[in-house]
Amino acid sequence: MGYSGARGGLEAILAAEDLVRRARDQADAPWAPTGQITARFRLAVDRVMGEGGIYHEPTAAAALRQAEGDPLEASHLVRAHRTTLPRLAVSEPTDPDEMIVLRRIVPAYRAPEGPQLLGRTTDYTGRLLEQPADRPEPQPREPRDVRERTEGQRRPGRFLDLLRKLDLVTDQRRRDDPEPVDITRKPPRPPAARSAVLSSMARAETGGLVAMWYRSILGPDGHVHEVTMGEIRHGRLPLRVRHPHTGNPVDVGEFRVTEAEAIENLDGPDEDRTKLDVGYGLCFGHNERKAIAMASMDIANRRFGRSGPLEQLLLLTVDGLDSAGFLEHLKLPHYVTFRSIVERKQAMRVVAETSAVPAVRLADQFAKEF
Amino acid sequence: MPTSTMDLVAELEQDTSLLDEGAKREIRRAILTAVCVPGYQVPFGSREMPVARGWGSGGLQVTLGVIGPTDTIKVIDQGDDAGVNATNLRRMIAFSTGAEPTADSREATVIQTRHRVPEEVLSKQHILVFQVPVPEPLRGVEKSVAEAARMHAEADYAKIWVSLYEDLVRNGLITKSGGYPLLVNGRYVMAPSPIPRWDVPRLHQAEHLNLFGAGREKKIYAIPPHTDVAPLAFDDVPFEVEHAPGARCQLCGSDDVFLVDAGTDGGYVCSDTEWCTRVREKDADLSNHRDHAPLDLLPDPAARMAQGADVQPWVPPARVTGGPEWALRVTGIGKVHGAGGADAVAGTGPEYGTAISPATRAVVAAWDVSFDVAPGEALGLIGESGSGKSTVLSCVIGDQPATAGQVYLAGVDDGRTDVLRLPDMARRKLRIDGMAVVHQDPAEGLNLGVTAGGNIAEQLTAAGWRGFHAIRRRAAELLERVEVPLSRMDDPVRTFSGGMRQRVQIAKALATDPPVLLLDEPTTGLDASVAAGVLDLLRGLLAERDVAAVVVSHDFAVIEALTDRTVVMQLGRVVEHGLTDQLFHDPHHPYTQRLVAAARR
Amino acid sequence: MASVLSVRELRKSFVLHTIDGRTVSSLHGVDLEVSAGEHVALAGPSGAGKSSLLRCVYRTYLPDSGQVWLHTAAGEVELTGLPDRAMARLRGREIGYVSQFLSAPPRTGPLEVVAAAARRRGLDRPEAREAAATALRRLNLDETLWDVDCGVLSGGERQRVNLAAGTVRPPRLLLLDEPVSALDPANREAALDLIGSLTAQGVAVLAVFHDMDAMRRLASRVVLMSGGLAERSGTPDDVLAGVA
Repeated sequence: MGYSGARGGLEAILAAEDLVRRARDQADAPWAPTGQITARFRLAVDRVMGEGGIYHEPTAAAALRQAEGDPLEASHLVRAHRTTLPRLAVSEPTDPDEMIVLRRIVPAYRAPEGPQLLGRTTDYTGRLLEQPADRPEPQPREPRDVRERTEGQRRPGRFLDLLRKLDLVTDQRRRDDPEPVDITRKPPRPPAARSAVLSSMARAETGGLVAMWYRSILGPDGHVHEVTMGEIRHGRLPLRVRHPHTGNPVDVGEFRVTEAEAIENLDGPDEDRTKLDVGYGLCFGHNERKAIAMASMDIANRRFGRSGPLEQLLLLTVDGLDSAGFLEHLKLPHYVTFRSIVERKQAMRVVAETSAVPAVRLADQFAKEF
Repeated sequence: MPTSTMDLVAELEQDTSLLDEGAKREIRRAILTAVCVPGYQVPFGSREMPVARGWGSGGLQVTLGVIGPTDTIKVIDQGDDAGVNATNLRRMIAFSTGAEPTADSREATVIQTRHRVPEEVLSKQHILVFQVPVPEPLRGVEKSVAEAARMHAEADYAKIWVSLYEDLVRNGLITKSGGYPLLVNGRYVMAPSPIPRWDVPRLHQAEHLNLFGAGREKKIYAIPPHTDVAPLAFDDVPFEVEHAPGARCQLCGSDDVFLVDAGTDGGYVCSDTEWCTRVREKDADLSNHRDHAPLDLLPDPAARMAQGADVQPWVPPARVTGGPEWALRVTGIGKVHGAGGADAVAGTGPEYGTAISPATRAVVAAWDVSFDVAPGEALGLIGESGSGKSTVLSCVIGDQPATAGQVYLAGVDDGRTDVLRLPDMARRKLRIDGMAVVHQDPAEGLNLGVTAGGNIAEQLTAAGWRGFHAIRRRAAELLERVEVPLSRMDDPVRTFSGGMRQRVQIAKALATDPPVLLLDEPTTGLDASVAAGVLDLLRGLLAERDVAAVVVSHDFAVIEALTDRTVVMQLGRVVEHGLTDQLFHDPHHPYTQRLVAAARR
Repeated sequence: MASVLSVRELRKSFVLHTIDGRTVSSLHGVDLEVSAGEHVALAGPSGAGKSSLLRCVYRTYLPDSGQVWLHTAAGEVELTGLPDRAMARLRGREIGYVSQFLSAPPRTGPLEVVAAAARRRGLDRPEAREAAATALRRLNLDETLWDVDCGVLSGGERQRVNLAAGTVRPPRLLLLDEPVSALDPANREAALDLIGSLTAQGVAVLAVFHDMDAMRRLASRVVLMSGGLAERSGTPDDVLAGVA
């Protein structure tokens, strides 16, 4: 029997694909070029880069277009694309202190070293829906002060350094985890190094991680306080690789990240209550929600990760492709397993109907003997 | 040859493969490990595929890892080649690898499947690749992946046996349906992906290689050819495959195949559409197929529980005599919480009035505690809370590592081996038949969601019992002995009162007749009258079974009622020991005198 | 006759740490012998050290100094220095101790209590029950009470249970501390008969009675104690004449 005997499914699939392409690609609207998407849907692109684990704006934008704006589906496209590519090089470790900040706020301190730089944010803009019929007219504005930023403004000192100087922080720089775990090559399982948990969170589905953070405050198994944010940054970092011939590090590009440091007030019985603990979050692009949730959960994991299920939850349940894929597999046919379930239900009925003694009272057969 | 990196990248972008070659090598390495250790789940760096996690991304990676352009690929979902999922995967595999697609099992070299083993009896030319949604057979009984990994490492499968026991008790039969847990090669318990039970016997000593890929959970495992595969089942309750009396395929008439519902009007058809077609076309080896069909395992309600009547009561093996006179010996146990270890001890203890090290601020919870206890003897360990008595007990058990000291059991190497130095696995096994523990809180020693009988079954199955009726009988005897009404044997312990829970915990601890019993405040959480009943029970049991018992309590009444000799602890040290009645009537140490005065009040 | 118990220079005092560390003296160097088949009664005013002596022999009190030798099948054993475990075993096998008050575990019946004592002295389970039944019958304990909680028995009934437990499968040495104080005349008679019969079987008895009559009737010898010392020893008539 040949392949031709099994064509029924293929026709349905091709028809479905055709429907998608026609409605999406040939819709009665101007084509959305990649530059359009990166410029106008910056945060969606950043989110796809973070969850997809590839820093390349045009790739993420193309994925978003193909996925009709579904960031999770777009992340899947990005990651499956990544799977087909070989590894050509591994970048050098990046020191976040090198970041040129685009935005930087220190909620925990009135006047930190360096600027409180609001940057590009809608945090303080009223959430009022604008529904322009066409592209809004440019706002008339004062000529901007174009003074060059000083080095201290471009790369401000870190708030944590001040806390360290005041000896207020427990030292969490681990010596037993020197090389970051590559979770794309080695599946992280508890017990895992801190770097594995941080990597899992950095690639997490943003909503999933935020929900886990919120649950850790309000949920049945509370772990963290409402932390104080030490520092939140969005900025550019250099990407360096070693030159294959000279062996010297070479800047080959730069990438934007969001970085967060959360401060926890230690109060556990085995903790040094004279100190503060600091949690760290970092992810691709501009995604403050994720970075803050990550920094908080970093602390929570250190404090409670192994005494309860938290470490396992952070390692295994926040990946969007995992959770959404498993959910969506429920749409696949399950009639073989379902038949197996129904057969047992019917067998149980036979037991209930034919057995004079109900099964649950099996103990009685021994009771008589004593 | 590409000359620059840009050329290389350009060439790679032309490539139609779904996986880069490095990833394929990784997958093949994982497969080799899996074949070498049948049933063991090998972690691998699962890549994201063009299908969703849960849609065969694991099976797809395995197939892509083993397939080449000269192979012939068949893909089925629910046994059907024409299903949308099967079709999609087949075209993807064929397109990206150049392998020839087929629906004929006899032509295929690689068959990727979801939920079925093809009806055609496979041979050594076949690699059967299963798509696995959930690779962990213990997930239903253990949520923690770290703990499940430990259970596999130590072949500690009592919990899943208990789930089978509970199923039988509640329902009168095993209701687990697809994905039935298997014991592979006598070692690892494995989830065969959600194939029906019908297909399980067809994996035993098969000619073909079975590979299982779980993409989302990043595991690969295997059943190599000629490997023993046994569904977990009690010796006296037969494993059953799916069956509906009189059912036949409406299309081909087969009655020795796995059947699914034909439609809303009733009736059945083959789930394997290719087989069904070939049977109709008279192009199938029917007799070979029938020989391999699990027709000996059709459900037989009459046989299911038939072997219960002639179960004999269990007679514990006689205790080994002739070793040391003690059953348990503890020497120099110490536990320091915090920095300094043994160096933190100076300046602590009763004479300094503190357990906190002046040098390191470490807490010296116990130091230099020694005692032994003989068969038929009960030793008390008394002191106020914080005196270190429970710390000593948990060090002896191995729940927390001791800073110093040794523990010997007469039953282990004639008392010559320090059991604290045994590997974790060996030490945990001691808890089953060497040294049982009764905790203050029954919730620590029991699974409250499991029936009283099931809790005892956990101890017995851990000790290797595999007879359902023998387990039932032993559990009933034990419950009878601890005065739990047998009418409650099949109720979850959660529904029991505190005193009853404690009785069940005691029955569980005694299930395998351990030579040593450790009791940590066994009556502390109970009302006075209930506690008295439990004490009576314990006293009777200790006298009966010649166990060596250690009783930890803050309560002189408990110690007096149960023990012959007693060790008094204060601030982590032993301050006095003696005959229990002597300590009560003639205490020497000021601390003991205070305890006695308080008890008399 | 062979000496079963030898007490040499036995001293006992108590340091009461809970009451400003004061010391209370009890025994000041007691010497005493009890032979097989001999019944030695301790007489003297309260506070003389009679009960303390029994308890020191049984090791409920740990003596300060001196020696207590017990002649056992395995030879002479010195009890004050015996390791706890060995002492606990020796007690069960060789020494019966009957105090004024029953210290039966709660919710256990007389038959069980007495049978447990018999088992400690080496009988197997059926033998022990048989021996216990005989002992209880001999002390006229109503058979309907054999399996009721000892806690509900009257003082006299409890004392008989205690006595039965102390004397079942007679031990080598029997220590009696006011064993019949709560009994009515008829039961007292049976109890004293039983105790008397033990000496005839070779049991060494060391006893404290509050009534002279029992001493006169049972004792082979009376030791008069005073101020923590064994002051005088002699026949009941000799010693008790001066006391009464």
